[in-house]
This record gives sequence, structure tokens and C-alpha cells, in this order.
Amino acid sequence: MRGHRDERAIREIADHLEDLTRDALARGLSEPEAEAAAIAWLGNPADAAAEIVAAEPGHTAATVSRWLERREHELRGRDGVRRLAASAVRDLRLAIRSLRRNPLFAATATLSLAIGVAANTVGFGFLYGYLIRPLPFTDASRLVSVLAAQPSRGQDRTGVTLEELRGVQTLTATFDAVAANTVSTVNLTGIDEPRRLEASVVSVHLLDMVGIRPLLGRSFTADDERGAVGPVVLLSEKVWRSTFGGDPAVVGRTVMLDQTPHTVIGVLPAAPAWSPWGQLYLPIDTALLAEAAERRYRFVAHLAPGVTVAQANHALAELSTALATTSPSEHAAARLFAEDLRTDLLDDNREPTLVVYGVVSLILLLACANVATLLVMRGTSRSADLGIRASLGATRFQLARLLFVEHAVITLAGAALGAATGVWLRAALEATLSPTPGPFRFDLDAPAAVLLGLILLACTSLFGAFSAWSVTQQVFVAPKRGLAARGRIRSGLAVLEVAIAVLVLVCTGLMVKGAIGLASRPSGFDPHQVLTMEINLPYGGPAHRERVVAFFRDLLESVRALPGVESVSAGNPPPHVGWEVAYEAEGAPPSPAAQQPRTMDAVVMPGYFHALRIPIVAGRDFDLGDTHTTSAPVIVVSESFARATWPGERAVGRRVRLLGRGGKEAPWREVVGVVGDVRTSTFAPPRGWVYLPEGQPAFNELVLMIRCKGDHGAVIRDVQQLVWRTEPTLPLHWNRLLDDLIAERYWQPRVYPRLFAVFSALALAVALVGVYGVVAFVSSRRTREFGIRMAIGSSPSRVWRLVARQGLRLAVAGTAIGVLAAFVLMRLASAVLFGVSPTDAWVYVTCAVLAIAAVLTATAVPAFRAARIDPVAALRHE
Amino acid sequence: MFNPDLKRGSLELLILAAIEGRPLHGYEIGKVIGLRSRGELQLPVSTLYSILYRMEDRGWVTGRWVEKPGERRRCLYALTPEGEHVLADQKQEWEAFSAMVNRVVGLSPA
Repeated sequence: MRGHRDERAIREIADHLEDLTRDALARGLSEPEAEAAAIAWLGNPADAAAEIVAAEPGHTAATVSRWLERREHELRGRDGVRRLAASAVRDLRLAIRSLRRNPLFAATATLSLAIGVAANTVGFGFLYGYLIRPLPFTDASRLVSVLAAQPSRGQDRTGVTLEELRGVQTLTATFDAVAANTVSTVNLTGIDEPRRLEASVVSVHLLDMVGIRPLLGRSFTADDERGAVGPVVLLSEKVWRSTFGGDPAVVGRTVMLDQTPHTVIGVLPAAPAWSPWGQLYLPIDTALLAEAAERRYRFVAHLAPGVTVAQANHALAELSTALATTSPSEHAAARLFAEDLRTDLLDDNREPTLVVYGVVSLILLLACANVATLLVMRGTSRSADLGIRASLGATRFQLARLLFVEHAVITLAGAALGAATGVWLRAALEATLSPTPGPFRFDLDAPAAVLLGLILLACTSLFGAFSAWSVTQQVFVAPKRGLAARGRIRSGLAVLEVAIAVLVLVCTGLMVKGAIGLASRPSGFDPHQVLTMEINLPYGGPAHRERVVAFFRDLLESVRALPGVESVSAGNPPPHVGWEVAYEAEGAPPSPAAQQPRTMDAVVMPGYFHALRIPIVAGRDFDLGDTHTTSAPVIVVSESFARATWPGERAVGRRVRLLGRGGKEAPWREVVGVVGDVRTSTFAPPRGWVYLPEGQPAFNELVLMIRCKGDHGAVIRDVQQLVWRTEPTLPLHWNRLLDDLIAERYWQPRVYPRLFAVFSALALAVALVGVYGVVAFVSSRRTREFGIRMAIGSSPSRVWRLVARQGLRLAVAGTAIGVLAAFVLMRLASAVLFGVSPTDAWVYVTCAVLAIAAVLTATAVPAFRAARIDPVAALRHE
Repeated sequence: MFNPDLKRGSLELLILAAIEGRPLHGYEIGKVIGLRSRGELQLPVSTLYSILYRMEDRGWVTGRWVEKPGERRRCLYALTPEGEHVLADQKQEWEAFSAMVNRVVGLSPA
């Protein structure tokens, strides 16, 4: 009905103008004068157009429109600035009115953009936090971590020994400051409950070097390192508030750390959530350092002015070579290197973050393309309305401005909706995915939000300008020509959207498959309902070995008797982490130090395998008789270790020795049992494990593994009571379920598939909106044609098929491109694909089928509408 | 020129009256009104057509495309039966109104 009127109006006014001109010519005016007179009859073209198009049936001006109209009247006719404001207000009014008359279009466009903005609100926070947000340290870009790599030990990043450090300190041209920043754990006692805390052990000048100033009290000085005023400690703000109640009088107080009195000299501000800074800060004791010469520590260095990281690495490489020649056995395999501090702190997630943000950017692009397509299509259907304005004298710039304002209104509405949705979505994801470290540590704070806003502004402005240009191109330059080109652009955009959606779908599918595969792989032990409690006895060393073992023996016996405990044992490390030692099998040819075979090892109490449900496949478990320091040296090995060391032979009765524990003086141990394999990492295949009985060596730090029958809270309390009966000042650490520890450590396969599933849904939604829009638009333009077809005998189902076929073409083209792109790009996303090939055929096929089915469903609505057209009404449709 | 406010209310009446008896297209309507008003009333294009379209929506006039020999196709507006009623009513009302105003203002004998 509207279209009908608009075209007529154009023709009538054009005829009217022609008549005016003809009469003016008849009156004797020249041709240009006659034309000018005719145009002058119209008055202000924009107002004229507004008046005509406002003559709509049932049109009611909204309150806003009326207000705007009044403002505009007030402003009109005054000075230049006011006139400009009046134009702006008028454009805004017309834009709002135009959008209100087309609620479906406005809603679709706003929704598309909202989806894009929501996805970016979720993803940009991660990107900003990992890659852009400056570290909260002074001159952070010039700070590096100094690390060592020992490839022969399978270590690609570890700390630096004191001797290596002395070498580093001589490189004064490269580093103008080097400071220790290493971690340790201490027992804090003398307060209500003993606690075990993580301590950052630092050089006294480190805090000054990175620019951290205390909230209360003072920082470390050189005297503290020498111990001039006795042992001192700095608290972190978190510990100060949680343990000391935020008491300002804490400065000067004495606390017991590892049974030694320390004076609190100050409180440091809260560390960012992602930083490894500890709960306490202790000055590094250089005397203690000298004692443990092979221990490795972490160091932070400040680059000298003008020195780059590459140059620093060069200098360190030379140093490594020099050290290797002076003392070959220790340093032969250690290579020093420097790494940008940011990379060191955040490295584990750079690639996945980039992948996440890549996907999120694609979704935004999709959404903007969608809005642009919708605007272009709407421009085509408004060509009559715009034509009136043009024929009444509106310039291309004025029309483009009007269209741009419409786009701006949609953008603002979409951005607001999207931001709100994004914030909610992020909170929902965070809640369902906890416990998570990883990307959700990063909030979208003010600078990130501003940057994101700018990106969105740039993106949407670009598309808005493009659509305004394209639409006015239709009106001014080539109304009838270029129809085919426009149609191609439309379809092209729809195909692009489907392709991008398929790409995201494939990425998600691969991740989900990988995650399922990982989850179903047996870890070799049963972590459910297993409570872990770390106990670190304050005494150790050779003099206390029996005492340590006796403590754990007695404790385990008491805990076993608790109600609520099904089984219990202890070990170090717990099964989901591990470290390596070199070993030698009896009878095997000796190998040079760098090529010695390595295995994972752990020290366990008897009953460990039973408590964790690791099957014993040959021989026996340890018993109490094995836990004495005088017992015969024995060992239990895992199946893969046995297979690798004695292929095809019986392992029980054979002998090995662990070179990492005592070198060539390590005792030969007899294998007494073989157990099932245990997987430390969800990604890696199982490695060989060996187990030593506690007592040979006697670790003073073991983790209790308590398989609980029910509520483990009660068990924690009971065990604490039992421990404090003999050791009243011993804090118990962790107190967490093994399940949670594992989930926290290996969060990627859990988090990424879900995150991407959400993104896939968003991408698919946007693509479906786009395809629906194109198909609906094209089919509405063909209404007359369908009417004719049905009038001359075509069945509705044929018409349905005509429309559906177009949707199918878009679907197939888009899917094909998407699959191809995925094939090429998924290799780059290997950081988020776990245990699945980037070209897994099953996933590709499933996603392709899914996408095509979804697009066809979106096409069904316009297809049905087309099939239900009343031929008579269609024929009357102009 | 008359006060715009005075004109506004009576434009519909003027246009309806112009096409009473024979269909005219927009330009002709404007010319007729201009002639009959002896040049006092020149309707702006936008006003003319917007009123025509409104009256068409209300069912008072119909527009029909007609091609006369030797001329191009024009849209001619004609009164519908309802439009004729409305015209008659509005004429009556205008007569009564203007008479009353004249009496009050003293332009005609009470």
C-alpha cells in the first residue's frame, strides 16, 4: 500500500513540476528561469517531502517526534549553528520515525548488532587483559624474567642457580638491576589457627625496582638482607585483612614463621589476581642461598637503557657457554635466557586468547555486515521514498546523512543491548565454568571498555558509511542499472555470513570432540570424593626420619578409623602432578648423562594405590615393613615403565636405581609390584611412574589422600583435630577435593569448548538472520512474479521450492567456503584443540549438515509466505 | 494573503469544491483554486498532495490513472459519493460559520 502511494506521488509531483515549467515558459521566461520558478514553488524540499510522506493512514506522531518537531520549529530560522542543530534534530526525528514504521527491520538490525557487541564484550576483556593492559609495575616493558632451560632434563623453563646468577650480575651493560623473585611456603603460627602461606622470597631492592610501595610501614632495605634488625616480613593486603583483621597496629607485631619470630614491617597493596606475588614477602637470605647451591630461583631483571630483549638473550647465551666451559657437569645442559615479564606471567594463554578474539571479531564483522545488508535492502525498497526527496531537491549528501543517522540510531540501540547482554553472558559463563583461573581473571575495566567502544565505533561507522553510499548510489547514480550488482552484493554478504558461522561451528565442534575424548580417557585413578590435605612437618633431615614416618603412620591409622572415611593414604606429589628423575635399570648399558632415561616418581605410604583405586597388576603394594629407614630398598613401577624398561619380561624381582636421588650412590631397588598407568596431564600420554615407600626417603611433606564417604567438611575438621593433638602448631594446607584441584589445573579443555559453543550459537544466529533477511527480501520483490505463476497454474509447492532453492544455494555456497576456510585455518587454532586433529572429517561433515539445515529452516518462513500468496492480491502489487 | 491559520481549516473544502462535477489532476486543481481565488490563494505542492492523499485514505476522493489521447498519463481525482456528502456538509457549515462571524463582528446586519 505504501509503495503504491510513493511511486504515484513521485510521478504526480514530477508531472506537476513539468506543468509549472511549461506555463512559466508560456509566460515568456527562459528555460533556466522557468525551471527555477517551478522548483521555487516547492519550497523547502525536505519539508515538502516530510509533509507528503507523513500523510500516511493511521499515522500518529510519537511523543518524541512531536517534541523533536517543536524543538525544530524553535530552532529553525535562527543563526547558522542553530540551523545545523535543527537539521540534526530533523534527521534524528525522521530516522526514528522511519525506524518505528519498520519495526521488523529495526528489530532485526538492532538484534544482529547486539549479538556482535555481546560477543565482543565477552571476548575483548580476555584480549585486553592478556595482551594490552599494562602490568602494574614501573617501567614494566623493560622488565624481564631470567630463566634457564635444561633440555636434557626435559625442562624448558626453570630457575637460575646462585652461580649462574653471579654470572648474570656481571652483565652490567645488559641489566642494570637483577632481583630475586622466588616462591616458598611457610607455616604461620601464633595466631588463632596455624596456616600455611605462600611467600615471595625477594631481593630487598625488587619492590623498589618494580615500583610497589607499601600501604603501611616500610619496604625492605639493605639492612634487612643482612639481618641487621632480625628477621622481617611484609604482609600482602589480602593476608593483612583476612588473617589480621586489617588492624593498622600490625606493623611492629611479631609473628612466627616456621617457628622463627619475624617482625612485620609493613603491608603491600593487593596484587592483581593473575600475578604470582605471594601472600607474604620475605627478604632473601643470601647466606641460606649459598647453602643450597644447586637450588634454582627465579629472578627479575631490568634492562639497561637501549638494550633489547634479543640483545639480552645474546649476552646470556654467551654467558651460558662461558659457564659450561668452567664447570661442565652442572651447567653443560643449562641455557640461560631472558623473557619479557608479561610473557612469563601470562604466557600460557596467549594463543588461545588470540583464537578467542579472532572468533569474536569475526562475529562482530558478521553482525555489521548483516546490518549493512539489511540497510541496503531496505534502501532498495525505499527507493521511491528517497526518490521523492531527491526529485524535490535533496542532495545526495543530505540523503546519505539521513541514512547514516538511521544507522547510528540502530547502532546505539544495538550497542546498548549488546553491552548489557554481554555483561550478563560473561557473568553467567564465569559462574558455570568455575573454578576457573584462565581468561575470566580479567575484567572489562574502564580503559578496555573505552578501547572496545572505539573499535565498535570504527567498525559500525565504516559499514554505515558504506550502506549510505550504496543506497544513495541507487537513487542518484544508477536507479535501474546495477540491480544485478546489488543483488550480487546482497547474496555475497549472506554467503559470507554463512561461511563465517560454519567456521566458528567447526572450531567449536573440534573442541567439543577433543574435550569429550579427553574426558573419556581414563586417568588411571579415581579422583572423586578424594580430599587432599597437605602436611608439612617442621622437622626433617636424617635425624628425624623415623619420627616423620612414625607421625604419618600413626596419623593414617587414626584417620582410617574416622567415620566418613572410606580409605586413606598419603603421597608426594599427588597423582595429577609429577616431576622427573633419571634412572638406571640393572643390566642395562650405561648412558651418558644427557641421554639417561627419565621417569616420573613419587613417594607414597602403604595403601596409596588402594585409596586412589590404581589397580595392582602384579606383585604387591608396600607394607609398613617397607617404611623403615633400615628396610630393604624396594620400588613399585607402573605398567608402561615396566614395558619400556623390560619389554616382554616380568618386572617383579628386577632392580633399578634412581640417579636423581643420590646419583651413583643411589641404592639398587627391587621391584615388588607393578601398578596401572596414571595420567598426569589430560593432554599427554601416560608416562612411566615409579613409587618409593615413605621412609626411603622420608619426606616431611606429604599430601593426605582421604577418600570420603560423604561430607568432607566434617572430615577436614576431624583430621585437623587429630593432627593438632600431636603437632598443635601445624597448619594444614589445601583441604580441597582432588577433583577441584585437577579441574583448576587443567581448565582449558573444560572452558574453551563451552565458551566457543556460546560463540557458535551467536554466530549462527547472526548468519541465520542475514540469510532470512536476504531470502525474505528477494522473495517479496518477486511477489508479483509468484502471483502470475500461481495465476497461470503453478502450485504453491513449486513457489515454495523456488524460494527454498535460493536459500539452499546460499547455504551450500556459504558452507563450502566455510569448510574450506576452516580446513586452512584450524591448524592455527591448535592451541585450543585438545587431542583432536584439525581436519577431523566427522566434525566437518556434521557442522556442514547442521549449517545447511539451519539455513534451510530460516528460508522456510519466507518460502511458506510466498507459497501462501493470494494471486489476485499479488497481481495488484506494484 | 490571508492569515495561514485561517486558510488551514478550509483547504479540504476548497479542494473538494474544485473537483466537484469533474475529475481533475493535481496541477489542474491548483490552477482552478488559483483562478477562483483571483490569485489570492496559491497552494504549495506538498500541501496540495498531502491533503489529497489524506482525503483519499478517508474515502472522500479517488485517484485514477487516465490516459487522454494526445496527453501523457495523469492521475485524476474525483469525488466519491461519501466525498459529495462531506462537501455538502462542509459547505453548509462554512456558510453558517461565516454568517455568524459576520454578525458578531458587525460586517452584516444582525
